[in-house]
Amino acid sequence: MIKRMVAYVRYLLPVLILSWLAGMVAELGQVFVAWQTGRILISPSTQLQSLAWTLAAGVILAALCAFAEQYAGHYVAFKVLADLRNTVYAKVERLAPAGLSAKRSGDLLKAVGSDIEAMEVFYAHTLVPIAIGIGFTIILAVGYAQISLAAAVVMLLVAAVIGFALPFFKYHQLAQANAQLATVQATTQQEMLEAVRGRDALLQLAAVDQQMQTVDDQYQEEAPAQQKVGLLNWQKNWLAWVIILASWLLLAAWIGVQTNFSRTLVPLLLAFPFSFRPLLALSSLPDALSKGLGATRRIFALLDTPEPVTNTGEVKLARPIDEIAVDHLTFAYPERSQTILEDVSLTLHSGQIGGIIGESGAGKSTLVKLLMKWYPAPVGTIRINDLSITDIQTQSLWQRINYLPQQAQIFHTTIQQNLTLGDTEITDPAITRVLEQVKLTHRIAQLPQGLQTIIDPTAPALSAGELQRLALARAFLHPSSLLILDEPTSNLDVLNEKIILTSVKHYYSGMVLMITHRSETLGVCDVVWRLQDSHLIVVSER
Amino acid sequence: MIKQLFKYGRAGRSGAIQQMVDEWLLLVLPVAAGGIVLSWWTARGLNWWGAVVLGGFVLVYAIYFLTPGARQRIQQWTVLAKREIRRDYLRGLFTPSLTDSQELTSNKVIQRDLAGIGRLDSFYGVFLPAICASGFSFLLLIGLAIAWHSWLWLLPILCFLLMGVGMMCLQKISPNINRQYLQGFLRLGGPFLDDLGGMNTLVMYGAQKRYGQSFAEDAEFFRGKTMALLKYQLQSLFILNGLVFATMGAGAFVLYPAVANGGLSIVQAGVLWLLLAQLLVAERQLGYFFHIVMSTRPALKNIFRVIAAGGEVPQSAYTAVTAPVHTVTFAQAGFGYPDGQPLWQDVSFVLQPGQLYGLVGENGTGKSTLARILRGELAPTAGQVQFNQTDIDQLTTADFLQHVGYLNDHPYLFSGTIAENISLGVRNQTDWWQKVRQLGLCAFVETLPEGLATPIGENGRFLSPGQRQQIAFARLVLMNKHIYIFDEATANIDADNVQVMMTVMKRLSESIIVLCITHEWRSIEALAVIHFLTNQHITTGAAPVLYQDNAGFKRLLDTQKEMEAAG
Repeated sequence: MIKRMVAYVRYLLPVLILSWLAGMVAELGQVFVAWQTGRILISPSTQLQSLAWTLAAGVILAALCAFAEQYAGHYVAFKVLADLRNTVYAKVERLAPAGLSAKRSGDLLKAVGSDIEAMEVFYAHTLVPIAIGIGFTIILAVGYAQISLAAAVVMLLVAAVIGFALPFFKYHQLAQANAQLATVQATTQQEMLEAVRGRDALLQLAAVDQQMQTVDDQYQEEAPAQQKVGLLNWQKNWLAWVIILASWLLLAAWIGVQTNFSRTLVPLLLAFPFSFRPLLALSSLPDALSKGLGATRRIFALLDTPEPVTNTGEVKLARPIDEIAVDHLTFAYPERSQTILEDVSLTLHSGQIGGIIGESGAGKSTLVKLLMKWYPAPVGTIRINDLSITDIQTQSLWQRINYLPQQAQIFHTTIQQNLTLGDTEITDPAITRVLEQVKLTHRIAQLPQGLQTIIDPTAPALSAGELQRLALARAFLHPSSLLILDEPTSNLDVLNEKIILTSVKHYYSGMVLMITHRSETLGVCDVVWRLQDSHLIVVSER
Repeated sequence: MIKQLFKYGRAGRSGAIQQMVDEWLLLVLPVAAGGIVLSWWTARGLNWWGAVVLGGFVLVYAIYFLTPGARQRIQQWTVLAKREIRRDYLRGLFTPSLTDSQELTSNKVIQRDLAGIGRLDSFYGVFLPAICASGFSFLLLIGLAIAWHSWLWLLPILCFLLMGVGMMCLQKISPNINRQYLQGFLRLGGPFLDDLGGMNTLVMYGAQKRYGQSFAEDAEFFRGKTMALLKYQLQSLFILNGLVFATMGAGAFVLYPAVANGGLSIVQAGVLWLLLAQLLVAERQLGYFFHIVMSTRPALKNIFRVIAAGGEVPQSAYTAVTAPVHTVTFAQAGFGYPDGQPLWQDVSFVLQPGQLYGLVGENGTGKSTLARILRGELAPTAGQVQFNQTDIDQLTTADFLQHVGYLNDHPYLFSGTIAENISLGVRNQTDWWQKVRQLGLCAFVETLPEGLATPIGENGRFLSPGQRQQIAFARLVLMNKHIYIFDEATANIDADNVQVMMTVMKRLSESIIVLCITHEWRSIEALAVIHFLTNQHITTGAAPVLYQDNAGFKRLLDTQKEMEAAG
């Protein structure tokens, strides 16, 4: 994994190294100032001027390097962030649609956002500081060794203890306490938010005091968690400082006796307590490490998800779809034993509207997903335009099909963009026409910004029915010869349901396949099947 | 504002003092140790007394921290203050009279405020103790410096002033970078997850490449802006670091003459310098936290405004109308916003139990405004509106809450189970589920494998819109209000669920006042008496009569039927 992680930033390695070197200089600068101060205090006035100049140069160099370190570090971070996002985007693109239809996709996508950020933090703000800590300590130890070998050894020992032993010793407890605190805080925040969002309900239901009590009770759990983290941090801090101070005193005593308290060692002594700053900053290291590694592992797992094997087939679908034929299809999901579809046959011709009814979970969606080649169908069972679906190039098939799911997919952007999906060749008259067809012209004209109104899916300016009609307009706008509607109206009121069904009937010239569990919806259909116990039977035909 | 922050968590102040002392000790202990080391050096001999005293002190301090009292005081101020602020904030927010001040209660504001309360940790737990610790250390520096006749104590002040000047100059140069960064962020953070979530759609429409490209461009744009902001922030870091290092160096030169002419011993000079150095390092950290504290100011401002609103009105004062409301009277009532035409005028009607009343009209005619008057959120600008014989301007918001139940098309459900949601207002009753079933509501619950114990997710997202609406309907009906207003409550749900709810409304209307606001023809046909709102006036009648007599009403129904038929 480490190798793979490095591979991701290979071209950024020089910048990372720059950040590392600059960081070490910046940290050493502070020690240098302390050391130089000691030298000034004990030196004769003749040397004062040269000391002053070196000090000034050191200060400026240190400040500049601090700047360079941060800039280079963040440069890497944001580069990595952008790269990772693009990589993940490309991967999800290859996974879609079959690889994304699973229920886990929602959680996965939620995690992706924060994981990518955690990885960014890891590359730029964890790896570099660790390297700085190590490099800084070694350089300083070498410097100390020039003056006193004992000082160098003591310094290394203390550094090892407070930089690495101490964090990892306290790590487990602190990580646990922090994780617990984060969980409780998230719950409190969530309850507060719910209380506020449900304000009107709570007032009407006279449940305000009750809810406030719930929030307060929840907060009672947060306090001890926070105090625990506080205590652990306190222990860590004090332990580190006690170790530094004790070793300082012992070291001073030891080399003092050895060198008969040589005045030339005073600068070294003054610099000693400043020799551990980058290591003290590393104390939250294990936490950052485990977070970063966890996030990386999850992202890599996503990138390694096997891509659906439906991208097979060489034959391009040259003309619009005018016939689909399912012939004795039997299907079960690879990882499940239960047969979803058994000996299913159907044919549908251009201009026809077909309807499939059945209980939820009967396998209606699976059937249409097989028709869309989201899942590979058994060889020879599905033919489109008399071509076996397994031979058809998937992209060319998708170009001919528009699919409207139960929950309209609305993007957080303008109405226009939601319709065109960025296709610049779609003309305004075409948009006007399809909006008219789904009866949205008037409604959208009422919006202050018309077509340019941005729709926020969490708080849309349009009702659910209107959004579904918008999605239908999108399907009308993009040329296709097969329209698949998956429970398009099951959550809609009668008016919207009617509008959708009649506009499909009147304005869509290709073939339509509609799934529903409500039989009222099926009045517009030319042929209706029922899917029951894995079998498909014709219910009505005209 | 900062002053107000001190009012909270009083009981935890000893915790604050403990933390201040603790931070101060961490600051000055290295100085003391340095003093001991240097004194050995100048005396050319070990004198362990200082070290033993120091060690002993640390030991005693550590033992003190083993006591439960000391542990209890860790972070105590933050913890208590946050609890009290949270409580007062909620109390303020739940003040019924706050209803019409929407800028206070918009979703964005509230999310920012809640995050702001969370961030108070930085103020109570870090910033203030650190300021005090630095302050003590500075006082110590002044004391020592004056006692030893040195001007060193001027340096931190100078450094501080220069930092301020430097920051101000930077602010002048590039004040709007922050905003650009945020815009970039908005452009990226949302679309990324949005595009990923809608990838199926993009792929099916062959738009994924286009989106991928524009996404990559956005990412690059965002990166550019972030780096610009960073450069600005790093400039301030450069100034802070440079000044801190330079001041430390300057300290050496301020001390040098006194050391050279024997006015200060090496020990004294070393102690002063170490103290100076520790102080400056702490000051630099303070700069960072100052930033955080300042960034919570807008949130804090609103938080205290909400808290103030909670302080003004006494809670739960149900006084004006204690008897059940059996008559609602509109007498030549009218309403108009101050800057516009009257929305409607000369409205007179009476609502009483026994019939299902409808308020029908096109969008924008003022139906919901009328409902808001019945909820006490607005007052009529002309004529009178009465509950029983009492003018509604005599009533408090609490009265309205007690008497009037209101349901629109997007009620809020709480995460938890169906049972918890329905019984929210009637926790101490046992037969609430029976009552719900008797009304004929929520039959779908019995088909769920987990029944009433089914978790519904945040705002009921595991349920269908119709199911959500039935739950909201049921929990409100259980409250036994005297007036129910259903404001487009059956919009956006499927036909089966509409049927169920209209039936229940009808049953309710037999014994209490029910007003159903709608514009949908199927619901209209279920209404007994319709108040049709058009051209600023109300026309009253039964649906068939209105359909014959009133052109506007006929048009409203016909348009819908045509739309359905023609599609």
